[in-house]
Amino acid sequence: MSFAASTILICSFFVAALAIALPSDAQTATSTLSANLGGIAKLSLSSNALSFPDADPDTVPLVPAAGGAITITAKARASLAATVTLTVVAADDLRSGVDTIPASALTWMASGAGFVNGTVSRAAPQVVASWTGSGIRTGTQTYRFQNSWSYRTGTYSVSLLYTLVSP
Amino acid sequence: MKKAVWSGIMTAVGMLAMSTSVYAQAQTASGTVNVNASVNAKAKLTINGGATASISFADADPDVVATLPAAPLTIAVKARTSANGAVTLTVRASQDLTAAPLVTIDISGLKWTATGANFAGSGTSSTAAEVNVMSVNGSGSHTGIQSYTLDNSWAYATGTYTTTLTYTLTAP
Repeated sequence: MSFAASTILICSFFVAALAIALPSDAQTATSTLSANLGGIAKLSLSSNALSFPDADPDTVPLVPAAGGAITITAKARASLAATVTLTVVAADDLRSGVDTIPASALTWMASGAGFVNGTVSRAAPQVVASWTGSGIRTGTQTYRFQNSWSYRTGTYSVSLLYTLVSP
Repeated sequence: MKKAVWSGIMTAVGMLAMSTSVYAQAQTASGTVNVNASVNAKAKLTINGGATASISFADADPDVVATLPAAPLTIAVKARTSANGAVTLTVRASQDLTAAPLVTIDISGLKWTATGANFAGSGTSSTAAEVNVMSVNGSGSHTGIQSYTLDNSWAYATGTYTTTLTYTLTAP
């Protein structure tokens, strides 16, 4: 075999060897997935109305709400150590025309993890419940109305605003 | 090789496109509950803590005891009314003090004094008309002490005399 032929043959083998060592269609790529999940808050109340019937202050000093307790479901997504709070505030004192009864005549007893008892205020929101972090929480509030002989007759009303904050 | 590399790049672009920033701020949710409370007119009266009471006068020498005293009565009034509702308590005797037919002591001999806010200071019993004991405007609780006396006299016939005093509380 001539030198040129040998060289060609060797080069051919070398190219063939290189072709075998480097596959031509295998590739890798990476991508990074990210999703930013922020705070979410959702609140539901089993009823949006409370009524207290007339009663003798001597025999019923604390009038329970007709219809029983309000069931509250709070859904929140928050950071790991964030405090999620549910508050309630009265829009006004209880009012019947020009006659009023202090909003503080309304008190509640609560049940459920994170829920606390309290007294309604028109001056500042009062904590109904608080939790740490995300989750679905359910509890109840049972309202009572402080009865008295000193009240003037009438039908008194007020709105209570609930606010759930998920930071 | 080029095909594989470009596929990788397109995949990365696609994944980045699908990821989104949902919420970056604190979230709030709210709800409203409407409250109604009924406060109706009411009136409650007790005498010595109950619905009925009795007083008695012990016999005495008219020269020594000109007016016979009786134990005082505690009168408690509770009323719920409108802002200017007139709450009144009155008393009226059913008959003259009577021991037997035609054996009577005129009811005007039965007098009383009272203490307590809004209570009349004194009065004379009557069978003809309601006599004011207490009056006030508006809701509230009131307590007074009423003390009866009976004029003593040598002219009275012997006997046990009785009458019934009916108290009426009105809260409009």
